[in-house]
Amino acid sequence: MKGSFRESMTWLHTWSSLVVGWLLFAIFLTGTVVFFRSEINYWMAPELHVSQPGPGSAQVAYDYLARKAPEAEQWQIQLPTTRERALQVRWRNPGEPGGRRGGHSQALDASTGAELAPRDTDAANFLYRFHFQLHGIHWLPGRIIVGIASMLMFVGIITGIVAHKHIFKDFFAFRTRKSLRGLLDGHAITAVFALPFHFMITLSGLVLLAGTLVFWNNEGGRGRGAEPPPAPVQSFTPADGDLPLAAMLATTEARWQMPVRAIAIQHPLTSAAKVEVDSSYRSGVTSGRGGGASLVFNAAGEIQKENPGAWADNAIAATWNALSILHQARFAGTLLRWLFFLAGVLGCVMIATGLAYWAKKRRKQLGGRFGYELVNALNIAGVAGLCIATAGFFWANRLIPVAAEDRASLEISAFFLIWLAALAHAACLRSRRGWVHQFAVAALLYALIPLLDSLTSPVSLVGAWRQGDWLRLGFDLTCFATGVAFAVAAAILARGAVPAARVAAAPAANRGRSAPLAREGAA
Amino acid sequence: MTATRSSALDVLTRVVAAGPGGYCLSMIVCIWLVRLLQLSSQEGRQLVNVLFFVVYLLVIMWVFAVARSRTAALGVALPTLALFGLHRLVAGEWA
Repeated sequence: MKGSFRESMTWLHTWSSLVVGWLLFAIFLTGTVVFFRSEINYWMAPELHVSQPGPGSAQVAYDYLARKAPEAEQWQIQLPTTRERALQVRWRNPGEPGGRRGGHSQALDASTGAELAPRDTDAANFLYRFHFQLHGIHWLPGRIIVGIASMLMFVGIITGIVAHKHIFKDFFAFRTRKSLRGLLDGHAITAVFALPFHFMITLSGLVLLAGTLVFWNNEGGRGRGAEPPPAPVQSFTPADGDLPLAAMLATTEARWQMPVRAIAIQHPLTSAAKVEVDSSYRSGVTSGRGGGASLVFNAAGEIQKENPGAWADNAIAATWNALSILHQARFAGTLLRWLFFLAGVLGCVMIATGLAYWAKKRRKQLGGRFGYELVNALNIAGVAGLCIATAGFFWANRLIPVAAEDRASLEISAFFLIWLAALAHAACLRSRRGWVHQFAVAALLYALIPLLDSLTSPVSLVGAWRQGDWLRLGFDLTCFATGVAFAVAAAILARGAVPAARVAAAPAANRGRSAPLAREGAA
Repeated sequence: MTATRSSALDVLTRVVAAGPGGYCLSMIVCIWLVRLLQLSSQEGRQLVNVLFFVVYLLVIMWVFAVARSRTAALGVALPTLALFGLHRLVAGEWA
């Protein structure tokens, strides 16, 4: 291109990011939110909120299964974790097909063993799938589109570093008074502050999509093996007493120094029972696939086998695993998960301020032209509108009647209809007022979510506080804080309807400082 | 931005050279890398899944950094064709 290396990289940074900016914001926002996928799933199934986990939860599940499925070949118990509060049990009777979908499953109250019937919802799984394959189109083109956007994000990050002349100096400068510089500073600070995160999350996201994007390299790679033939039906003598379940759990926890997450029992209630106690938490980022550590016991409670967690075979496999595990924060404890979430929020702000900066900078030159106004409308709807739609998704989860037909897809329709409404609003009101309106709506929707939760869940927030249900309280508090943040943003924007003179003065002031960024718009 | 015809053509050339062109070049470079480093298939596969995107990035940056768009187009097309041809000669088949 014309000009220096840095100028051409600035050009590339601007345009590669702009053409997919809204998509990247949507990918980043949904991805950030689903760091808390389990927690959101739990929040969106208020029927589970009555469940109170305790040390006896495993026994509760065992007793339920002994009552409900004494004939079964296999039981599986998912215990409550730090991210889930209800019990999940599965069983398979003789002659029934195996596999993930075979058999029966049931959610249980972890303290009483009462059956719980969570409402029909896709919950955070919808946001999760949207994050990497969008919605309403076949998954393959969806993943290709997300992949192209991610590659442009990768280009945007690296060229952004090259374009930024004063990367360290500007780190300490945040000129809120001048709104144009303020936007650029906001863009640079959020970018630099979480740069390692942005780099890691983008590269690992690409690698996770490699099966689609680098298909020629992964052909016939990861097929699922044929399903094993059904085991012959055998008869076993009933066991005399109950399994020493509590002792098995304690032994496993002591052996692997990790809380137990799941229990699988073959031939339950017989003397041939085989119990696998699984503490499949990932603690390291280089663990192998399916890297859970478990112990296998016989009916008498004696250890039959130790399965230490799988470790990667070699450095390359370890790197690959590390990238995919990092991306999904599967190793992360609560604190680290929050750090990832906050870094993701910074990424969202980075994209939003970048888009807003592009538009604001060119208002005088291009204002009124179709392309420019289109960008403006898409900016508002893509950023503020998507935030509104996500909040609306949570509202729809609680307001659509439980008995409604095809309930899960109604929630998703609500999400897209709200987004569409925001786009229509933005198309009519492309100025700063559009931003203010939509931020205000988002503020209201998010700030009122605790109230909504308290009124539409069988357990009120006071009850949740008494139960120590920090999954729910955490969700509600985060939504409230988000609402406050939107309110502040709306107030700043509404107050600072900056007079034209000040906007005009801003570019003049920074022309000397950030030459390429200031100049390339005029080029 | 004054979108004269020549600058639009210039940008279009670079976009094609960087997008589909860069993809092909990165692909064949990765295939050669696996061959030259003699990586076992599983290892090579995983390495390429990461390296591909880095090579692709470098190609894209070069295409937009170089002074003339014709240089960019040829600079992507010629090595791609050469490496594919060589690969076919050596392996006796298309990648």
